Amino acid sequence: MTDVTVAITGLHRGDNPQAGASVIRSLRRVLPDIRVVGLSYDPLESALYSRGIDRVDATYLLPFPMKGPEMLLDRLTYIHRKEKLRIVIPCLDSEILNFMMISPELKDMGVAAMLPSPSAFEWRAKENLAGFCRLHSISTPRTYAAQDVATLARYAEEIGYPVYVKGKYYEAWLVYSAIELAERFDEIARVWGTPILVQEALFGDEFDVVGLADASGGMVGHCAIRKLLRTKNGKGFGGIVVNDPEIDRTARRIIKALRWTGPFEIEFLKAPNRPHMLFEINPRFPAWIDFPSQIGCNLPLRLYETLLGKKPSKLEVCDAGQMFIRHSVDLVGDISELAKLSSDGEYVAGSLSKVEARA
Amino acid sequence: MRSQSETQAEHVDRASRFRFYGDQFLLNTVSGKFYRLTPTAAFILRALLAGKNNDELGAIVEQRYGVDRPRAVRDVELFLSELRSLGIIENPSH
Repeated sequence: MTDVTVAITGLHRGDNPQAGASVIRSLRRVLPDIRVVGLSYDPLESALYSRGIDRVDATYLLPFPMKGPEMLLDRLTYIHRKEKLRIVIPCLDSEILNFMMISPELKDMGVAAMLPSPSAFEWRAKENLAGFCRLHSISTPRTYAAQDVATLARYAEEIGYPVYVKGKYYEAWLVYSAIELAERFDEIARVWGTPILVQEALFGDEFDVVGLADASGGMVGHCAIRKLLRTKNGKGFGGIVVNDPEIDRTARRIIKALRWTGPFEIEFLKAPNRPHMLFEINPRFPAWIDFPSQIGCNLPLRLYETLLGKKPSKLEVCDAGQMFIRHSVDLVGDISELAKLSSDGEYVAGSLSKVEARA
Repeated sequence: MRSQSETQAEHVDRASRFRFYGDQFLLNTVSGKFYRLTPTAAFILRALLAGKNNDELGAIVEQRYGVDRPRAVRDVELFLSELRSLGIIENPSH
């Protein structure tokens, strides 16, 4: 077993899959002995039950991101004492800010992470992205943010229905009227808070670029795809590599302008007779990150090597036409694992013999 | 008016963005879109990507399929128009 322990979040693979399990697959395929600590917000996150290449060796529950950075630091300090973490790879939008805020303490503890600067993180936030695009002459759908439903409805009228109503972190609904807009506003605000965004609805192909940026905003590797299959919620369950110099140029320009550091996913929409429109920048690897890893562009591995100061492996250029299709499988677990994790907030694989149910 | 070298560069650029898989499947490597083709469509498209102009396309269709020239030219123009509407090739003005 290697002495490097990597902590990874975002371990659920459902209809809205997270990246954690894909990051583990990318790393363990090359580093079979790596020790992976799963950091989880819910004992039912699916990868916790994997026995395969994307398994975790130990799991610890984390406080929800809304509890703030101090509680996260307390918990990570405890976990670090037990696990001697060397690297942490956060994979969820909603937690990145907390990790950024405790990054000096993590560094002092000897836990390495590659995170964006506060300024870069703020510019790419959904409510600020339109301003960033104006500043750098990047095409983007018309987008406005509002704290209250009346203002948001006014913006929607200005854009013209249908429009997308979007949460700060997650959720996007296509609405056709002010009544629907008000309903969605309440729903999203209840879960994710405000501001809520309203965005011009464009229909076309979606293109995503995943990449890793060094500390000076240079892209060290990337892969661009067109989404082939999209779920009702717009999640890409299939994709094909494209070789579009315009997308590559724009992605490089964005990352350089932000002076981005670490993993990212840039999402574009291409409506007929319109340029590629930037509509989201995610501050983490996407759920499909193991696809480029399998075709020679292993960005989680490069991240690992960078954080440990190791000689970097070669990143191949992803060849147009290579494609992925997401495949769902059923994992077998035992209720004793769920019971242990729910009760103790942690679970170390292998140390637990099945807890007998008592009458 | 575009120079000959510009026109040649466009042909090279256009040709490099398409990949045939046999005679019935085409991938646009830039857009990631793919298409099923008939063998006739593949024949004309290959010739187009090799740099043939509309007159030359009409001539090779006439020769290959034994149709008269006006019909060959009309069929080629209809086909090119379909390719443009699908965004597979650009409008002549671009």
